[in-house]
Amino acid sequence: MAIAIYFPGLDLALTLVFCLVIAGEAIIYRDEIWWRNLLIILIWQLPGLVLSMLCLLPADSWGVANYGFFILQFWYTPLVPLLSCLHEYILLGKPVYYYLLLAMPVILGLYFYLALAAGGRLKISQSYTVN
Amino acid sequence: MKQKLSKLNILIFPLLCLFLFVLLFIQEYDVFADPHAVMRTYVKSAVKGHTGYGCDGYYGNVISFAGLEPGDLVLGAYPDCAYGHYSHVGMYLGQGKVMEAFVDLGVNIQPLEHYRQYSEVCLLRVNAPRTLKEKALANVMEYEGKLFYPLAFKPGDRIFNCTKIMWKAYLEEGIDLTPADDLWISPDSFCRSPRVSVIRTN
Repeated sequence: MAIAIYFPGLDLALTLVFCLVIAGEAIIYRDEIWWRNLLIILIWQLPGLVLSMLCLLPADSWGVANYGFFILQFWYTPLVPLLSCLHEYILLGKPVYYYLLLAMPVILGLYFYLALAAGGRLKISQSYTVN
Repeated sequence: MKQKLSKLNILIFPLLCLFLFVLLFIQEYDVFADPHAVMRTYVKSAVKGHTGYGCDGYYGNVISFAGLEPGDLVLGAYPDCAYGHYSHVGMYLGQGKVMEAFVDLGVNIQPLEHYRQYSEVCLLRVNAPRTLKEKALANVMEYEGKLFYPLAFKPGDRIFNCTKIMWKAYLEEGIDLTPADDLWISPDSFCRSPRVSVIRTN
């Protein structure tokens, strides 16, 4: 996905494809046992979660927290083009994208969960149609 | 059906990645063949074990900032930088302020004095008329708050790293500070630029 940044415009299109693929995965592989779905989300977002927590460590500015955010941004590279479209708002001395990247494990987890729920409804309506 | 979709989902991004890499290789073949390209510098540094980046600690250099003019470039170096001798660059705005970019701050204005933290500093003057520099400064102010991404390629105006700010600001006024073809701009490339002269180093 980082290569796509070389082609402005295409990077945004691929971000949308990434979001669609994630939603597709959730819809296709929805498990009937709820805790397994939550486990999938947790394992999927664990690296991001750990990196976000590293960023929040009360370390000095250029210590672990800074390296943590550096890697966190690489980890969420597929979503960087989307974040770059945000207006340049500054909150408490940091740009909005900083807070969104920190919250990204939760945002993506929620997105996956909503796609799961949508997949569940889709399957229910399909079964009604079959019956 | 489920299996087919599964295969498609797994293959879509590796295939797209391969396609884009081939496209990039064809378009920028000269860069891939250039032994001085930034990507070669990364590889050479990695082989030597140099993996450092923009900020590493406080060294307290004593360089004089006297005589700096708005539009000048301020470069900072840390030992073991992964992408050349200098690891960071900012554009002097005047009144002790610098426009620069960091991973967690995006493109932002910082005090010039923070360059004391680097082990080495180099001050560069862009050889251009004052009116053109004023326009470049106006351009750079428009980038404030933009997203920082370390691998910000030359094309595009949404994603920046520290070097792309001043490169783009001057390019919009017709001055290419790094005329050599490359995918990225390293701080070192400003030192080699025929459009700048060194004010002083420590």
